[in-house]
Amino acid sequence: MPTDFAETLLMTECTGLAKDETRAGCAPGSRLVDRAKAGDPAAFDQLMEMYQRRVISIAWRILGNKDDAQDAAQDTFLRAFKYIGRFRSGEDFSGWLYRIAINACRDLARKRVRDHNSVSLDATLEAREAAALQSSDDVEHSALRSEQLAVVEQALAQLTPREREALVLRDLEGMATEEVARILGSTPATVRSQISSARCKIKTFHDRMIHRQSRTRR
Amino acid sequence: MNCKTCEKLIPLFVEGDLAGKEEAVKSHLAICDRCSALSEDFSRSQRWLHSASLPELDDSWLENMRGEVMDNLRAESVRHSRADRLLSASTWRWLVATAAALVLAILAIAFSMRSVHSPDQNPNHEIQVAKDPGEQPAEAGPPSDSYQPRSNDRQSAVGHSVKKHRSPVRTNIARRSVEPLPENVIEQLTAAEQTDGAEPEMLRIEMQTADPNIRIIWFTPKATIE
Repeated sequence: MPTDFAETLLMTECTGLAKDETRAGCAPGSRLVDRAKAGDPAAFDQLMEMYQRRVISIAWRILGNKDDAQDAAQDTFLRAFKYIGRFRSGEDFSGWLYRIAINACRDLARKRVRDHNSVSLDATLEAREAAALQSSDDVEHSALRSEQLAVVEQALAQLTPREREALVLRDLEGMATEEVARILGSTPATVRSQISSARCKIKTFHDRMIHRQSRTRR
Repeated sequence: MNCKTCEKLIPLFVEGDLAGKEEAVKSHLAICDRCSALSEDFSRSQRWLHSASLPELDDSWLENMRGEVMDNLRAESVRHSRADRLLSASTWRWLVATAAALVLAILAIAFSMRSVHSPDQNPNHEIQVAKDPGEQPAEAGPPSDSYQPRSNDRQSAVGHSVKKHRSPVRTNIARRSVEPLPENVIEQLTAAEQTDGAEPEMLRIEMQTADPNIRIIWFTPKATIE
């Protein structure tokens, strides 16, 4: 179809960004949104393809493991499809979608608390599993990376849920403070305060870790 | 800027989150070794945080996840379309049921209103007290607000006019007062009436009950009291 061809052309013109961002940041995204709003499943599938990595990444960082991230991402897209009619054209679709993702993560985290699941333990196990899956070329490198991921997950586990959300979006996903505030339904000042507190806790954790490592070496 | 203020701003400074105060922090860090070291520590912990990247997601895994979402959406839409069909088939049934329910509701309201306005519960309805114990109270005409004794009408001079009220408590009081007067009182009243044939001098007696809305007022010939 000509429309699809034009979209593909525009998509390929967007270079220099990550795969998801490439297509999300360009005009076709809004056209796809309009088509998805009109009930076109193919358009929605394309939107999912655009944003899935980012949504999973956010969910993984917030929830601490891949399985929960997958559940949250699926829930995010199901909710997005259900409520896409309420999305106003011309607004920031990615922000709207990430807000849904954050809510899906919160709901899942609440459910996990009820189920008495330990997030940090899950994360550690998940990181090991991920290392096993990634061990195609460099086993040592993958193991090191998974270990690092598990330790960072432990550091993130020190934060309050709101601090964690703010830090993940600002520092790990690289969003602007104002955008984070919009996604979290908060103010930039509150987000700055949460980020500041979170960074202090991460630094304390990091200092302790370095201190422990130096003691072990001795 | 002093060290205390700078320490508070460093966590935001290291990632460029300070708007307008960056220069002040920078100039303080240039002259303060302690704050400068703290800033370096924060930068190091932030670098460590960024270093732990998530494992690369497999394309087939992502496709699989997307497929599951699309399957769910398809199942959902099938469910919705079935529900829509069912709704359209039963629309007439719903309409008939709603209409029947409305008619029943209207009938129930009409019936309850009719029972409220029945003559038995009319507050303006009057019952006259019978003179003799065996005589049944007779229903009277429209109520009169003030007592107007008539010399020729012994019934009205002797009897009481009692208003019935809506409240069950009040109704009970009214019913109690309908009981016939004692025989000796009636005799005295008759005697007083027969003495001069003129209108007897009336005495007004009021009694306030525990309920502030109920006051018992009655008139009696002065002779009966004396």
